[in-house]
Amino acid sequence: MRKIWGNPWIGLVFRLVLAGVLIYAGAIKLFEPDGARDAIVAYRIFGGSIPSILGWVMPIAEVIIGLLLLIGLFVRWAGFLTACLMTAFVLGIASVWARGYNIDCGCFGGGGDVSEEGRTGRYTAAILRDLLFVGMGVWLVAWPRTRFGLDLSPSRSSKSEIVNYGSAEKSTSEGHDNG
Amino acid sequence: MGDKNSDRRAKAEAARNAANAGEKKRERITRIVGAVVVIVVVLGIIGIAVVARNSSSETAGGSTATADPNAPAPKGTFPTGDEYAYGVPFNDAANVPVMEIWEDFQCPACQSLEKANGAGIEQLALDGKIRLIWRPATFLDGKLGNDSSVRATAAWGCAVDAGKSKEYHTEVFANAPATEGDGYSEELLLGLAEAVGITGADLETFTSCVTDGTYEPWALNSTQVFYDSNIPGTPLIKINGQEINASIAVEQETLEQAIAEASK
Repeated sequence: MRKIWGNPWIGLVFRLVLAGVLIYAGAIKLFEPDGARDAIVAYRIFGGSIPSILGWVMPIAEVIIGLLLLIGLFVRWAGFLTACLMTAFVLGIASVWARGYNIDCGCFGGGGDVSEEGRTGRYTAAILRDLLFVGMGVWLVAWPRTRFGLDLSPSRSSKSEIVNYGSAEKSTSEGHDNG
Repeated sequence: MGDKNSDRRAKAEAARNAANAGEKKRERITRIVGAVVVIVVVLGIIGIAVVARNSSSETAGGSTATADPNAPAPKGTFPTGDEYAYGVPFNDAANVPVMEIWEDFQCPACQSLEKANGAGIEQLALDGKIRLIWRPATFLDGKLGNDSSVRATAAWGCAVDAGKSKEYHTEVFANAPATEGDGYSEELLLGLAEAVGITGADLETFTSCVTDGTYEPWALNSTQVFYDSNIPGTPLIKINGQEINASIAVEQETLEQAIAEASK
């Protein structure tokens, strides 16, 4: 039996799920006029030229982080940034909800004001989904070594990590046999 | 013996170091190559997106107008630089709450609002309970790929000159396309003049105003204000600068409550 926590196969799945989500969400926004600007404006959080700037920066960042996760490079940083981004989305949606606005979260393109119908379900689903992504990001920060990644070393001490990882796996399997 | 042993250890150490250095180098190369690939792919996606956007932003209609702060504006509308720049006042009352309605003639929700309580809102202005200001926007042209919002708004501007702002406003929404995006034909916009009672010399002025697209730059000026003030969409209703939910304005009773609240 392989252990669950830190399992490099689970890490691979999380990496690919987040990569797919981020690349898709980022690319679709890049194809919209003004990027994600209109969707950001609907949150009524930022004024001035911030929505226009974020409207381009955010989708580009999403695509970059997504690609890094896809090829498995700088996984710890990419996971960290994913968790930060998704946390920001959760806070944004919660804030809009609390202030009583009816918007489409614009998570995957679109966005803007919509009718009140189905608001609770829509916001709840978006928040739960993003929290799930936060969890996956945190996992990759904790265990950035995953299958089929280009990262040879997630931290400076490449060798010791490899050794530790190998021995940790070994010791659990032994532990299992003994028990 | 001892010398031989330490010699072997040193050799092993050197080999390990060499392997280590090789691994480090490989790792560095991997990172650089990976980063370059990511950057190239990102630039590629941005490039494709820009090309795709440019080809889709060419509107299907014939309007080639651009925003111009010095362009002519319909009579009585707020001038460039004003707090309500390019807005259309209706029965401008003083010392009462200001009610602004941002709307786009191609927006179905604006049409619903107009149908549900347009007359009620106008009555509040006529009764001197609010200072009503319509704030036109044509942002849906870009989203729908046509030029109907700018043409309809410009035609409305021509009707404002003829003193038929409320009537023409009502008629445009009453004739809004059943399917969002189908837009307004020029024949329809010209024909509505009859429905609102623009006749004689006024009709001639109106017709040339519409066919010349005289107020298209004005419509785009207002849209620029819409973007610059980060208005999230239409309809967007403000009372004394504070956004209220459109569902409040749909019911006359709740709207009057909101206005009473604002007058306090």
